[in-house]
Amino acid sequence: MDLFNRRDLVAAAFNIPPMKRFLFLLLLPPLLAGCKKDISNPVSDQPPTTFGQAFDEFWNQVNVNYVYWDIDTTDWNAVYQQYKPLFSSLRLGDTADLRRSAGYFRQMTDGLTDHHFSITFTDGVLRDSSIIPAYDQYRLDPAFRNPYSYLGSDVGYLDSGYLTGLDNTTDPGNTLEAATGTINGKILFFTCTRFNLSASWQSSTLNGVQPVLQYFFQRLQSPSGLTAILLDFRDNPGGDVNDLNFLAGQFTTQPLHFGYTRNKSGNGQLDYTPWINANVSPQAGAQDVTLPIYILVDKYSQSMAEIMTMALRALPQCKVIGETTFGATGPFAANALYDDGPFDIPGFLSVTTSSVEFKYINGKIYEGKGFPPDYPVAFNLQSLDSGIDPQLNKALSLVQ
Amino acid sequence: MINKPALLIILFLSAETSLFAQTSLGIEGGLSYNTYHTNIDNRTSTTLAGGTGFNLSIPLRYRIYPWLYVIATPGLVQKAYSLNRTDSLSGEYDRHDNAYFQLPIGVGLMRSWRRLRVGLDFGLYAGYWLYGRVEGRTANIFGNATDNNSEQFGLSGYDASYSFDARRDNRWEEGWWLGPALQYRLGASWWLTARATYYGALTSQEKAPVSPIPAYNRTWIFSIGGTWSLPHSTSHP
Repeated sequence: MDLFNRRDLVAAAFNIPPMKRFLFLLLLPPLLAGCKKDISNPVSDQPPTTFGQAFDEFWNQVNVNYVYWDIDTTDWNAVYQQYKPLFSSLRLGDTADLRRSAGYFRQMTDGLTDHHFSITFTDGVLRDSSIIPAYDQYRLDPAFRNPYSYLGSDVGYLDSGYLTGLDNTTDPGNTLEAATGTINGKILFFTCTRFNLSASWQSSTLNGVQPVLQYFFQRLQSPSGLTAILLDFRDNPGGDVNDLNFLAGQFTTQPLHFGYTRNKSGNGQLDYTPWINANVSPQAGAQDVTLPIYILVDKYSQSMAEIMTMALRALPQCKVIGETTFGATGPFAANALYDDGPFDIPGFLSVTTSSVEFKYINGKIYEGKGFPPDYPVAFNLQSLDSGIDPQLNKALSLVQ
Repeated sequence: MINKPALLIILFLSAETSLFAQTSLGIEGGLSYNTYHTNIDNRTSTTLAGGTGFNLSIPLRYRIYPWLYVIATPGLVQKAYSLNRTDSLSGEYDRHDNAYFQLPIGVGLMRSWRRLRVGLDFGLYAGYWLYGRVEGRTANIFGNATDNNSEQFGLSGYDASYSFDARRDNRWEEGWWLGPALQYRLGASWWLTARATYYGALTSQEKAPVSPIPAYNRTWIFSIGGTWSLPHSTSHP
């Protein structure tokens, strides 16, 4: 008789309850297993049939796709409580209600930190109208001013023989203009009205930007006689992210670490990957530029213009002159790339928003604030209209 | 204020008036396989995959009847999972390895055949998140993979400690557990043990409303070890 059987006898002798009285315990595991939950997903991108549905889709998509929740002061859950009843009272086919909804969308997003955030309506009376909270915020700023095109005043400073060029074929409808030359025979100058330089350079269709870039790159690689480089990224709305390496990669032979990015890793507001390094990759034929570099920026230096500025500012001999930039530092790409960023509500609206959160090498996030210059010089319309550019003059004073 | 593990231990011990009378203590270790139960239907070309890890526990059994015992198995367990991108984004992934101190308590039903015992253990558990590591690869938006102005981005890897964020993360995890147990008697007081235990969390790993879609760990633990009947106890662990 083994030990177990002997104990059975002992149990019987001492009136120990038989096992069958406790068989109910066997019911416990399946009961617990029944606690398994079916988890619903509120995020949808179906064409809405009611304003309530449109609001829910918009709110949930922003909730999961927006990348600046960690620093944004908007209480998005309070927004839901406040605006859900308002949207639910609207009728989707009603013209007045459509206009009213645009006002609600504007109010509920007006405090967002992401300066790339914009809503473009694709439906009915609101078609092609847009909401850009960053512009709305700036318009309320007492220092608000309209954009100013500096190209005309820039060329007034350039030595004869400067080059300007247009490209309106590579990205039809979005003309790119660039200029290069020297100032006082010793400062190499470059400017562009937006960033699509890489595409223009590689375009099989000859365009006016190619010889501008050809000259600028050639002088960078043969800087004999030059004492400084001056880049003007004022009034530049940004553009193609490929231009970062294409242009800044001409200034260095080693990867240039200038910051960090991270994207969403889940559906939670605060689900992020760890930060990864943001580097400029050297381009073929690049040399280490040791000359002082000065970059002009203003309030309308946006997106890639700001990123380009911050990247080059990571070089020790680079300084920034002008105004604090716009504050749209988080680049964006198609939603599928990171499962975050821009999204559509089919047949109703499209949202542009950053795909990655960007942090500068100094640990600061400039989204919504703008990158501050080393040498602040205020915008002065009267001076510019008279042919005097105080910001450019500051750069010249630093060179001399 | 008594924290949760202390409360569970007190409850366990208070039920026992003669702890050393029929008590056994053991050590077990093995592998864990965790899946992440959530809903990612909105995420493009993304799949959830389970992850393997390790576990180490100290089972403590107290026999009430020859066929019934109460059990507590405090220990450490890794719970891993990963989100993997597919299709053209294949190669991107985000793997999480979370380590918990876990205290399962419950009861076990047992049947013996000569030296072999077969049991079924089940109960409730509480876990305390200790440490996490996150590893993966993601597209580097500033790292274009080609020079031809394409939308192809190079991948950058990361491998870092998980930053616990009290706004987002639940430090505690509670749930139920269930699993078969085998014991083989090696000597009067020594038993070789093997167990397969399934842990189902009832607490989301992240807090609402910051994380609107809950996510629960579902963990299998496969362990082997040994058990020793404490002095003055019977040879039954």
